[in-house]
Amino acid sequence: MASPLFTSQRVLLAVALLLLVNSQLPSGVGGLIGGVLRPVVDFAVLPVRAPVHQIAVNLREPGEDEASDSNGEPRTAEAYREEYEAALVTIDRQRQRINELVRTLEVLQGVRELDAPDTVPVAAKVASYTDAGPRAVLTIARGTRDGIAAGQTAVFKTSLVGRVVEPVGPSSADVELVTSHDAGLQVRVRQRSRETGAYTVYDNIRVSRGEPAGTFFAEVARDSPIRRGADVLLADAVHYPDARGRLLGVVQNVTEYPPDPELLKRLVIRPAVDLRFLREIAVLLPENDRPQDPGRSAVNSGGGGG
Amino acid sequence: MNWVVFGVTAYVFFAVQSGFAVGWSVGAGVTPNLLLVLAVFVGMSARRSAVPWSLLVVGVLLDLLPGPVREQGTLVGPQAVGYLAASFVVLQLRNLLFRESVLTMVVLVFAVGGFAALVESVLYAFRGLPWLAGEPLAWGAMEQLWRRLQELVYTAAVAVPVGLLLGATRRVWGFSGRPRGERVF
Repeated sequence: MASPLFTSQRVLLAVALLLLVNSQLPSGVGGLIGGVLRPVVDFAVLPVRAPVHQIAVNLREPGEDEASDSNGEPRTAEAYREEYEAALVTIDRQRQRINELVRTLEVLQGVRELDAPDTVPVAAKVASYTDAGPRAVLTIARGTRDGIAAGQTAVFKTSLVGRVVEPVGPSSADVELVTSHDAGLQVRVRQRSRETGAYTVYDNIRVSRGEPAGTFFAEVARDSPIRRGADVLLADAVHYPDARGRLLGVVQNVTEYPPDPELLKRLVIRPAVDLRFLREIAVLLPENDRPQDPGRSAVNSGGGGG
Repeated sequence: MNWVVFGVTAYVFFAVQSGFAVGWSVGAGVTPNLLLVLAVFVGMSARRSAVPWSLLVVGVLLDLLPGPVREQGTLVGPQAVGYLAASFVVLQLRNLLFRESVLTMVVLVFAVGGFAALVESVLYAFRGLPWLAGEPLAWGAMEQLWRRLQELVYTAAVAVPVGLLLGATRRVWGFSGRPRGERVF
C-alpha cells in the first residue's frame, strides 16, 4: 500500500506535468485554466488591491501638489496688490485656456469619423497596474456583469487608454495599454499655427511602439513642419474603430531618423496622460450593450478622474 | 506549517504586490516580488513535503498576474513550474545555510528567483517553436532574464525588512523542527 507521502509526490508530479503541458499549449487552449482561475482570484483580491492601488497612485502621481497655497492672510496693501495682479494673470490664463478648449473641441468634432459606431462609456475604477515587460496592463473593477467584453476600447477623457483583453471576469477585466500595441497605428497629427492660431491636420501617418517603452515613433518627411507639442489623434479603422478622433499622445520630440536622415525625421510621441497613474477610466460599450442599471455607469466619457 | 497563515499571507502579499506596483516601480517598471520572499521564507523553514506545494501555489499566483502573452488570456504554467523546480533548489540549499538569518533569505532570493526565472524564460522561449505553441513573444529571453535580474536585486533589498517581519511571526506559522529521518546532506 502506498504511503501518504508517496501519494503526495505522485499528485505533485501529475500537477507539474499538467502545468508543463499547459504552458506549451497555444494560448487559446492553454489560457482556459487561467481564464477560470483569474476572475476568481481577482474577485477575492479586488477589495484589497483597489485601495492599495489608489494609495500607490496618490503617492506617486506627478504634479498634483504644486497648487497648494498657504493659509496666511495678506496683511499689507503691497501684499493685496500682488495678490490682485496674480489673480489678473490667472484670469487671463484661464480665458486663454477656455479659447483653446473651445477650438480643440471644434477640431475634435471635425475629425471624428462619421461612420464610427455609437458607444456608451462606462466608468471603471482601476485596481492595479502591471508592467509585464512586453505589455502593460490595467486591471479594472468592472466585468461581464457591467457589459465589459474583450476587444472594447478604454479611454480617459479624450485620450485613448487601450483595449480590454481576455480574461474578463464577472467583476474584473484587463485593459492592455495602447503603448503596448505591437502593430502600427494610423494617426493624424494636428498642429496649431503660432501666428494665426489655426489648426492644420496632417493625415496618413503611421506610428509604432518606440523606445523607451511607453512612447511611439513616427517617421515623416524631413521637411515636414510638424514640431514638438502637436497633438496626435487616432485614425485607425482596423484596431480601434470606435476610438477614431481620440487623442493618442503629443509629439514630445523631433529627432533624426538614423536609417535615412536625408529623407526622414522621427517624431517621438508620448501619451497625453501618464497611463500608469489613472484612477478611473471609461470603457466604450456598443450602444446596444448599454447596462440596465444607469447608476453603475457614467455616461460622460470625461467623467473618469485621473 | 499552518496553511491558513500561509494562505492569508499569500493573499495579502499578492494584493499588495499587484496593487502597489505603481507606487514602488523603478526604471522600466521593475517592482519587487513579495511572493518570492514568502516562498523563500516558507522554503527555509517548512517541512520538506510542504515546500513544493507552497512554492507551487506561489508560482500559480504569479502566473495569474497579467503576463507577457498578449490578448489571449492568462497562461498558468511557466512560473508555477519554475517555482516548483526552484523548491528543490531551496531544499538542497537550506541545509547548508543558517536558516534564521535574513542574509540567508537574501541569498536564497537570488537562488530561488534566479532558478525560477531561468525555467520560466525557457518555457516561454519554447512557446516560439513552431511544433509547440508556435507563439513567439516579442521579447527576447535575454531581455526577460535581464529584467528578472533587476527584479531580484530589488526583491533582495526588500527581503531584508519583509524577512524580519516574517521572522517575527515565525511562531504562528507552526514550523516544526526537522522530522526524524530527514536527510541533511
